[in-house]
Amino acid sequence: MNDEIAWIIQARQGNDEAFARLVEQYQTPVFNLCYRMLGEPESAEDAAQESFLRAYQNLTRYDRQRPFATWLLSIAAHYCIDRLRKKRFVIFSMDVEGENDEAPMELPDPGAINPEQEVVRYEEQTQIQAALKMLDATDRAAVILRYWYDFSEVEIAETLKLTVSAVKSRLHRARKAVARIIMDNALDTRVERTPYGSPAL
Amino acid sequence: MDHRPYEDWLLNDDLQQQIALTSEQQRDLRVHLRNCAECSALEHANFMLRSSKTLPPVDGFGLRFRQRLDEQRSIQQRRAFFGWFMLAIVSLGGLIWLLFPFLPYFAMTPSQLSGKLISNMVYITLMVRALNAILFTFLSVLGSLVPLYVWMLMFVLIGGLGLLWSFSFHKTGKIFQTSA
Repeated sequence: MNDEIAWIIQARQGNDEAFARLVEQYQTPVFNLCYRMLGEPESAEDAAQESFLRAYQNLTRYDRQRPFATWLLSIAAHYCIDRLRKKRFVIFSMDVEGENDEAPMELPDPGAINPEQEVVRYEEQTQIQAALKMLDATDRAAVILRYWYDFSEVEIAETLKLTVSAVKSRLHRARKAVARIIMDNALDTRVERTPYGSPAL
Repeated sequence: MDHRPYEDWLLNDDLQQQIALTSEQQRDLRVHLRNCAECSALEHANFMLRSSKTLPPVDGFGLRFRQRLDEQRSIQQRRAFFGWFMLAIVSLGGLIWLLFPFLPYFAMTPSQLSGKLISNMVYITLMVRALNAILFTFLSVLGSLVPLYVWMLMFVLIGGLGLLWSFSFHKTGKIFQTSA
C-alpha cells in the first residue's frame, strides 16, 4: 500500500516508471472489468489502455483518501458505459448476430485435470458473458463490480455515481434478468436436442 | 407459484452474508428450489457469477500502454506546436496591420517627426477635453432627470447582482472540487 502511494506521488511528478508499476499492478482487474463490460478482448484491451491513459492524465485529481483501485475502476467503468452507449447508435454490421460473439480469450483448457468440468465451466462462462451482454450498461457495471470485485453497495454507488437505493434496485433487477436469460438458454439447449429423438447418451 | 420469501433470501446479499438462515428455513429453501425453476435459476446464476474467473490481458500490456502513452504525447506535442505556430503567425499579422499606418513616420526627418508628434499630442489633449465636456453635460442632464431613489435602487440592484455572481463562483468552485 505504501509502495502504491509512493508510485502515485512519483507518477504525479511525471515519473513514467512509477506509473508503469501501477499499470502492472492493476492491468488484470481493469482489463477484466472492460472485458466483462464490452464482451470482446480487442475492445477490452483498447478500453483498458484508454482507462489507464485517462487515469494518468487526471492523476492530479485523484483524492488519496479513496482507494486507488476504486478510482481506477470507476474511470474504466464510466469509459465502458460511454462506449456502450455510443456503440448502440453505430451498429451497421451485416453479419448474423452472435456469429463473432465467441471470446477467444476464454477457451477450455484441454490439458486440464478434469476436461469435462473444464468444458462445463467454459460453457457457463460463455452463458454468463452472453447474459451480461443483454443487460443495460449501468446494470452490467453494477453486477460486475459486485461479483468480480466484491464491492459493497455503497462502493458501487460511489463508483458509478448512483444512490445506494438505485444500486440495490439495479442489482436486484439485473440478477433476476441474468437468471432468466440463463434459464431460457438452458431451455433452448434442451429443445435443440429433441429433433434427433433421443438424448446423446 | 409464490416465490416469497425465497427470492428475497436469494437476492439479498445482506441476508446471505450476515444473517444465516435457520436450519428450518434452509430446508424450506432446498424444497422450494427443487420445485421452482425460476428460483433454482436464480441460485444457479448467483453461483455462476460468484465462480467466474478474472481474466488477465494478453502479455505485454504494460509495454503496449507505454507505446500508446508515447504516441499520445507526440500527438499532443504536434498539436501544441501547431497551436503556437498559428498564434505566432496571427500575432505577426496583427502587428504588421497595426504598424502599417505608422510606416510613413520612418521616412520623416527628426524635425518633421517632432512637429508631427507635437500636433498629435495637441490633437489628443483637445479630444480628451472635448470628451470630458460631453460626458459632464450628459451626466448632469441624466442626474436632473432621474430621481435620487432610482439611483439608490440601481446601485442596490447592481450590488446584489455582484454578490450573486461571486456566490455562484464560490458554489461552482465547490462543486468542481467535490467532483474532482
